[in-house]
Amino acid sequence: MKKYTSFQATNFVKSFTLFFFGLTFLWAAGNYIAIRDVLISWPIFIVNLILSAALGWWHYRQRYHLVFSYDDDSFILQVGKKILANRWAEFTAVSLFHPGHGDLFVRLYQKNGSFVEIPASLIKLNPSEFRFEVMAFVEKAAGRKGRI
Amino acid sequence: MLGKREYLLKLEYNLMLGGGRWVADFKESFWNFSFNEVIFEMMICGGMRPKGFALSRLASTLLMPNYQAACFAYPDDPGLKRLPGVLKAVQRYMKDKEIKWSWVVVPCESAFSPQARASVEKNEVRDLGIALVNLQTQEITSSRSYIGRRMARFVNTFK
Repeated sequence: MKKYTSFQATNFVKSFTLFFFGLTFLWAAGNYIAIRDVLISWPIFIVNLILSAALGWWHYRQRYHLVFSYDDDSFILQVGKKILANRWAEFTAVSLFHPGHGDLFVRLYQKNGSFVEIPASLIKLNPSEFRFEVMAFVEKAAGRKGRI
Repeated sequence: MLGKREYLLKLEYNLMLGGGRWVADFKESFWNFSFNEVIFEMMICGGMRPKGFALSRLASTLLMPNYQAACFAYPDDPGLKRLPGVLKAVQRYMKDKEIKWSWVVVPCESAFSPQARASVEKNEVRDLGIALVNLQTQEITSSRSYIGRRMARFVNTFK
């Protein structure tokens, strides 16, 4: 199986910022409740940065980190802790989808109209070439030529 | 000379991520799309309401009608023998999916016959634009309707 891992800086910054402001608020509120003052110093700021980076990294890995592996029979897409494993044979149509912000996803449709999206550009694959590769897998799995 | 596949890939990029976004929010592209026994090499569909962020999203929701639009492409028909069947299928698809207007692009690596070009130029169907793209000479012939005249600029991906 080919395996692709993608670090998404924007999502990590999002997680980091969330924890940085959260910890800052907690520190200020805790200080105010305990001593009626807020202690601010460089060491506290640096500890906050390190803690935020660590917690942000943990949150990013839980929620956003992308790992995608596939071969000609199936694929496994892991987004954070969520794992989606499917066989190409379960799908009947393939499209290239633009959700916005210049990203391109490969959409796989099932017979009942429900679909699964593979964020090709976020995994740093060439979305157009990957789409054709997936079309070939689906076509091969369906054992027929023509309609995809 | 640009091959038909390269041309269609450039057209797809232009509509989804390039200048085509000024006309419609083309967001989904199918290749080897089949409808009513007609197989289109490519079909791109979308809406008229761009997504945007915050204020631009609000503005587009309040000001823009949410029309659906599509672009169909099928190659290698210099005499336009398949065009009547294709147009019938496109109009049926538009009716089924409530699509307000469509483009039909016919790229060809050889020259179109004068009759074919004349028949397209005469076409005045309001909600359908047709463009014949000669990949060899990079010449584009489009239908006379407003949609047809407008599309000529966006299907020209040779620059």
